[in-house]
Amino acid sequence: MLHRKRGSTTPSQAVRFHLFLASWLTVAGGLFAPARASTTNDLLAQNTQPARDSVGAAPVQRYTPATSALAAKPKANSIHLSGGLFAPIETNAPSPMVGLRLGRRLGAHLQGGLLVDWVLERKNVEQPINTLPGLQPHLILARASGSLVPVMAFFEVSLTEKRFLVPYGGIAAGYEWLSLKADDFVTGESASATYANYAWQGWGGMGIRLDQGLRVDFELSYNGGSLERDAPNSNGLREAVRVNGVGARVGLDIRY
Amino acid sequence: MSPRFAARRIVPLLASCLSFAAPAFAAPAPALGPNVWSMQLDGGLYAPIQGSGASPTAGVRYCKHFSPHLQGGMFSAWSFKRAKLEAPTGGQGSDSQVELARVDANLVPLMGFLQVDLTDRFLVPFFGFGVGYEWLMLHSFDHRTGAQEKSRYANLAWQTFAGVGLQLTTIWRVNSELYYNGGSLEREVRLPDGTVQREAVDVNGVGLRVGLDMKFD
Repeated sequence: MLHRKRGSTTPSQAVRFHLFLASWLTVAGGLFAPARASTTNDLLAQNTQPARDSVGAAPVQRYTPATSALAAKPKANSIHLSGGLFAPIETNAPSPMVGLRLGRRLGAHLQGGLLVDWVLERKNVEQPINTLPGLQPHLILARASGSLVPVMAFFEVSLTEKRFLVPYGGIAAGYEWLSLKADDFVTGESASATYANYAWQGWGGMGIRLDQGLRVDFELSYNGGSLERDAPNSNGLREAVRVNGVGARVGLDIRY
Repeated sequence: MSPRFAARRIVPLLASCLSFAAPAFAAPAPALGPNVWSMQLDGGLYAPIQGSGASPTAGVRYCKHFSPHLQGGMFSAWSFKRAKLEAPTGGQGSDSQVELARVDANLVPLMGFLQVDLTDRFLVPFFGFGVGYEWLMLHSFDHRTGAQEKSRYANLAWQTFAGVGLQLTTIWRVNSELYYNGGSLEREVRLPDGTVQREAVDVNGVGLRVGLDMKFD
């Protein structure tokens, strides 16, 4: 068998073997590195970044404490922000409303707390000012406005605490105020009156649970009450305004 | 360069370089820390119900993410609308118009808002609600009388919006949404006899906007 004669610049067989071994170790080490790097990153994500909150689409490992009972402890308080429409039965004029419920968990499906709402209705008597195009300013000749504010204690029952859809219902009782104000800007006259009395509310709806701490609620409500005041310039006579009506509102239930 | 030289020197060298480069490509996308914020730049059209036609609008939203589904912060925008009163010049066969009057309107809301993302997948339906203050600057020119007036209206106002986002990466999202702006902006005018008049402009209207949302921490 013929072999090429080894020249003076050709490395020996031992040197070639070591070069070969070193290059393959280098390649193998480099290719092995991604797996090591990702494993290290996973461990870092699991153990050192407690609130990497998976805000994006990519799944991110959450920090889980060693005590599982602590992680499973339900959040005790809730705040419910809502907005919608309220239509008194006797006037049939839907008015915008906003509401706030502060609740505390009393049992597996029961919470109780305080609520406050604000229903505002405002009507202007206006006349156009000019005939220019675009957004038209109007002169306000008179204005009437009414604010209905209930402050009540409530109980609410959720039929499930685990499912995606959460049927729920609640009832509340407390005090309610109705403030009416009228201004005639032409004559400068104004008048106001405040009515108040005990009142109650009931509601039922369906919530969509987005995560353990957040629920989107859609609900129908009923407000019942007859608010009163002493009639002016009369001996012992009382005026009353019925504020019975139905409402529809969308809310956010935030647990903390 | 002989094939043997390439096989013995170049290929191992390239393989070494590639193997060292591999970890960089395999590294995960930059993850966000515990305090996630986001900023959205958007643009679109806004059409006041009492105005004639739509006008361009541009805005910015800056908010904190309280959870993967809930965020809250502040937003502002700027809508510009120009309305003209024109009349034909009267020349036969001519389409030219003469401008009789013009009103420029600049509407600027500044509101706090809450937004709910219904999912955290690629398609993200969302809705939100904002309450705050809104300003309207009107600049009117009546070329017939030579009158020119600047007036500013302001009041509490609100917005609600709903749309769909495309979560392109962990960081970037494209949102398209419809919104409703509600408000009656007012000003007081003191007349020479000392009486005060109140004027109001109804700025209720609907809009459409597309925005680029970027998360950061």
